[in-house]
Amino acid sequence: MTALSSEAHNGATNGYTNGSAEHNNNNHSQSTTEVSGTSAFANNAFSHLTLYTGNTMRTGTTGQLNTSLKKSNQELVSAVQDTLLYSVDTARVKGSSITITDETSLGPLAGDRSLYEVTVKMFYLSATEGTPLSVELLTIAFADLETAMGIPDIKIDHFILSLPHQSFDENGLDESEVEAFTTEIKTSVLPLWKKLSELRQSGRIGRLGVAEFSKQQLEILKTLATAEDVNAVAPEVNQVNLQDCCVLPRDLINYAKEQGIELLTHGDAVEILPKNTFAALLQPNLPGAAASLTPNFVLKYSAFISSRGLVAKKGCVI
Amino acid sequence: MGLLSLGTPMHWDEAKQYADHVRAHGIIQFLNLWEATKNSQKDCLLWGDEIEYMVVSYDDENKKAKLSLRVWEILQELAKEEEEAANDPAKKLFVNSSWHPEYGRYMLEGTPGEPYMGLPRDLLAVERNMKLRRELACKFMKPNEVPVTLTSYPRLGCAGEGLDPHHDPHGPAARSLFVPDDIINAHVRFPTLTANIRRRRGAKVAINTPIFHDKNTPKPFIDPTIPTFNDYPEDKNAIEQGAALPDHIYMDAMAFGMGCCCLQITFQAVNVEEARKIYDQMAPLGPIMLALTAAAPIYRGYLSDVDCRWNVIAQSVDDRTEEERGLKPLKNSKYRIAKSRYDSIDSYISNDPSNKPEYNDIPLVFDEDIYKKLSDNGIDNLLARHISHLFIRDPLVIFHELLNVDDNESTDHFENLQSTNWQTMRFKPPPSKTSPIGWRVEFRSMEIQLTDFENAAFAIFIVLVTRAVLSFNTNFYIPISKVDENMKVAQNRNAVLGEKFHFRKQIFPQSRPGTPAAGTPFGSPKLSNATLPRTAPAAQNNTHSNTSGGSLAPGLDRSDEYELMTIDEIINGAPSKGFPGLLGLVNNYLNTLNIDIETRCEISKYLELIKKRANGTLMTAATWTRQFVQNHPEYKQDSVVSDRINYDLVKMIEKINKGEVQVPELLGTFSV
Repeated sequence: MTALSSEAHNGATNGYTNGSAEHNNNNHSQSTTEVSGTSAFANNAFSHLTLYTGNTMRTGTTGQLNTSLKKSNQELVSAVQDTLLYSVDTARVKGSSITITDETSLGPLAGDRSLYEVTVKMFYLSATEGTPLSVELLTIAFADLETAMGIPDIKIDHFILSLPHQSFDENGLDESEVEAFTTEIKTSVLPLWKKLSELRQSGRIGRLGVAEFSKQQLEILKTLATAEDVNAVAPEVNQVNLQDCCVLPRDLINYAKEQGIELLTHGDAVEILPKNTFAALLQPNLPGAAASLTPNFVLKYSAFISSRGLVAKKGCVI
Repeated sequence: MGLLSLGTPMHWDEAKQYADHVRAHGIIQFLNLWEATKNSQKDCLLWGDEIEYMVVSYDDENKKAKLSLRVWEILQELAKEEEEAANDPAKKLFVNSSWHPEYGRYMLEGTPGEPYMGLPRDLLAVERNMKLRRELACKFMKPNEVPVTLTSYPRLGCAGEGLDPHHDPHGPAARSLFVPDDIINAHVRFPTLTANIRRRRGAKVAINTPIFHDKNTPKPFIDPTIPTFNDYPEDKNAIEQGAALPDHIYMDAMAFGMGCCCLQITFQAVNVEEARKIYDQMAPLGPIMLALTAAAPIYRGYLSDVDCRWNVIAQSVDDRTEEERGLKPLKNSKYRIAKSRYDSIDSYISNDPSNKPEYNDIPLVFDEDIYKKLSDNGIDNLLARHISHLFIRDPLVIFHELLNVDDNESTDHFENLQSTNWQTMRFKPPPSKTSPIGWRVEFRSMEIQLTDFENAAFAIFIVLVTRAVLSFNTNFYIPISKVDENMKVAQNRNAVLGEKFHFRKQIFPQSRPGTPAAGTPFGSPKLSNATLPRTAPAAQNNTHSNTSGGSLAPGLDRSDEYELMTIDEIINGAPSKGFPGLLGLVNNYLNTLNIDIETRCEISKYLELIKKRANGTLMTAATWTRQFVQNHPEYKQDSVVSDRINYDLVKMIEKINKGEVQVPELLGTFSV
């Protein structure tokens, strides 16, 4: 299985490869010169792909979403489609990695960093059961964000971790489900959560949270995280889907109040970027890549000017 | 409304001699202010609403609802409270409001004590504050008095004793056949304004609103309730000189217009460029919101064929001479002027590149000398046109004592003209050089709703639309002549459901053709504005048009950029066209923010109201009022709204506000 990776904008290679990377011996250029024409890439089976969507606030992608869809990946799909349509020509290729950056996402945030509230939601996509979620991917994600937002050593005010297949279930967990979930957290999530907590404790993350957790699940995470030998933080934010937000179970609301957990709304689909959607998106311009790549993560980020109530920038990185 | 300076005002004969003086100094004052504040930056969104109330006095024994002229006393009490609250933080929590007089002696205006801020959770404070204001106002009223938020008072100007205390009509200031001068706010500014409008015009104002022809309404309708007097030359206006039109409800005083109530929202922009941008972007929404908030179907005791107050007010302060109105060739008057000084805006003012010259397609009448003075002093073309257009009007109220002021410190003369141009939008410079308040924009077209829940909903909606506009950098531009067409149509009976409005199709200027945001869901690349074929070289800047005929350079044909849409489409969107609608924009904006569930749910409630009014699930106040009248046992299907019907209507509105009665057709299951 090949992996998605990113390379920093300044062209430095991080030399990251994944286990069984598949390389095609095509004559792709070794330098990072811009190539025009999608046909140059059509048949390449890249081993890494990073795509930065445009500022979806400005491209109209976010504005024209159908708001009757409460659990949707419409925004991501439209944004990626948009970028592939317009920016494949200016993609940078290095070795077997391709980085596509939307023309509208260029440029850092105007004005003082302190004006902005930066929120990031990281959707972990590929996970093999029983194996820990990759901490390495987190490092890559941070690097991608710094590129996308034009802010070095970025501090993220709200960081939301979205686990694969996690969906809010208002019915409680029975004993076996509790056990299964506890195991899952211990093995898959905890190492990553520990790393995130370090970032939280060092101030690189302002508030750390999860999405679609029920009260029980929040409790389990808290217990495991704050255990002596782990020494991580308890979740401070839980995202709840718009569809559920007006009919949330009382126990979750009360627990959140007690624990100081912010219950924030979101409208994302549970499966934000299924493999076949990803393949379908790439197919028109990069059929070779569509066949060879699987998405690792999606980052959704936004920068909000709280004093004026304006969203300055919003986009995704895949 | 406007300024309440003290002093002795001039009669029109004197005031007109100082018109140029006021204008000249007004411009100097503006330029001084501009120099000091053009670069001002305000980092916070601050905004506020203005709610106007009428105070009704019940005569329960005789089943009459009268207008109480006691508001001045009530205001004094409220002013005392305000003062105490300023010094006592604990009291401030309960009083947090500010009160002002308005044109009508029965009118009250209340604003929040402090401006609101711009985050979603700040918006939850709006309804609370509005309710607080209503409670506070009630505190100083007699047991038989009640404040109501009615846009037009149904039986204002009807014969019989409709005022408490009673006064006979036909005073020297207004010379109205229907209302006494005592209906006007006693502060000397207001009757002076009234009289000077009449004097300048050379006749009383003539308001004619089409009557609603019901089954038993005579056709043609010649109003039998117009009295005859023989005291003033103006007494001939109505019948002898034909000012009162058949099939119309005739009104002859400023009170019928400026005695109406409305909902106004003012917001502070980060700087002057943003203010100009918001002004332009919100302008096309003026008629849309007017139709959506329609609440004024009854005038002088008759059901009219319009649902809104706008044209009534426009006609009620129309000080244009016959020459200015084009009825006689220009001899003494300087310009031919198309509109009353109260009406929709005539030009866009932003230097944003999306403001193409073709959108300012109304030939603009402006003072060339003033334009030149502004231009010579660094004011750009669009802003100079805007101001020199406002300044074609004469100042109507000039106080002797304030004639000569320090132009470096005062903005009195500027404000004189600025505040007596009443339009759908108002562009407001900082009040003074040193004020902490920045550049602001006022949205003025909305009618006041019957309950605070609705008023809060509309206020919140407008603020969220401005946030969405700035966040998405939307483009709502259509030729301004089309906005005017929308204004006309917006006032028609049931326009919200029955009419269509010009609206821009492609509202995301930076979207790229072929993408869903370009309005073409996954399909053929549609041409966006950038690729319209050029038919003639378009002027780079707006050339200024002269008063005699518009001479705008022929530019691009922009007619492909907009189309007729229903209010439902404009507000709720047309998914098949990829058009999100204003609510779609607002919701997409909100979904991008970190909002907690409680706040999100509360705000959704308000947005639901807007949605349902737009798609017809719930009625506008105008429609509901009509129905109430037409279903009333005393109604004779002759368009007449009797004292009894009026009384029952006001009582019903009071009950709705107190939550004692449910009106699902108006308010669904929302609790007020």
